[in-house]
Amino acid sequence: MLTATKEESVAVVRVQTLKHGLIDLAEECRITFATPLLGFEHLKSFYIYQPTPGPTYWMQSVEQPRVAFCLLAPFQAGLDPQIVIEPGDVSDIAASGTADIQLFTLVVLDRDPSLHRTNLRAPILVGRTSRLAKQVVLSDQRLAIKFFLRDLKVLEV
Amino acid sequence: VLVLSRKSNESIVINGEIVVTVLEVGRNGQVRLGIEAPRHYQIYRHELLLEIQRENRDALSSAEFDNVASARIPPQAN
Repeated sequence: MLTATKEESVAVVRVQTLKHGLIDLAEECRITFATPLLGFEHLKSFYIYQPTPGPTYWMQSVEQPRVAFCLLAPFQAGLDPQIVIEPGDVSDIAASGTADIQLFTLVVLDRDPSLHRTNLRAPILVGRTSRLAKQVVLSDQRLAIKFFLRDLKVLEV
Repeated sequence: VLVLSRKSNESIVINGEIVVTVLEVGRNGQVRLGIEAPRHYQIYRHELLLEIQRENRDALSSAEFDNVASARIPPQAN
């Protein structure tokens, strides 16, 4: 159940999340998949939010409160995968091209944190302006489908 | 399933805009295909799509683990 309230000039929506209970999010956190996430063709709308600052985000389904994914912003995490996105790949979600795109990768969490991994081969692209999203499967075979995050030189702060 | 027989250098046309040509039939049974299609068609090996789907489903089920509520992955030092 979503309840919209006005707070100053920013539209805020109360969202039931899988991981963080009932939280208030700006309506602009909502994204719509222009082409569905592979294997989740029945789900279109999600909220992307950050419980704490850092490179991880959560993507919460609007249609199904039990569906949520952990996302990584790989560049923010210190990774520099050679991900090449062509303007033609994003013309349906970002009219002004790749500069208007946010890139996330899906994270597979494990009970053993050293086994957390992310899929660099099939990132999720979000148009900052359009709020439309898609998952692309890149042809570069050097991008790991299972990239273990222990391979990041993690700095505990 | 529609079944068509094609030899090397013969093609099929799908929907008037996708042309699939048999480039080579190897003795080991491997077939090389050439595909001409408008850019907006996403063309993948089936097993790659299945692997991505499996990874997506693993990402979903792993999100329910209780001990990773924060899933904190600190940024790397510069």
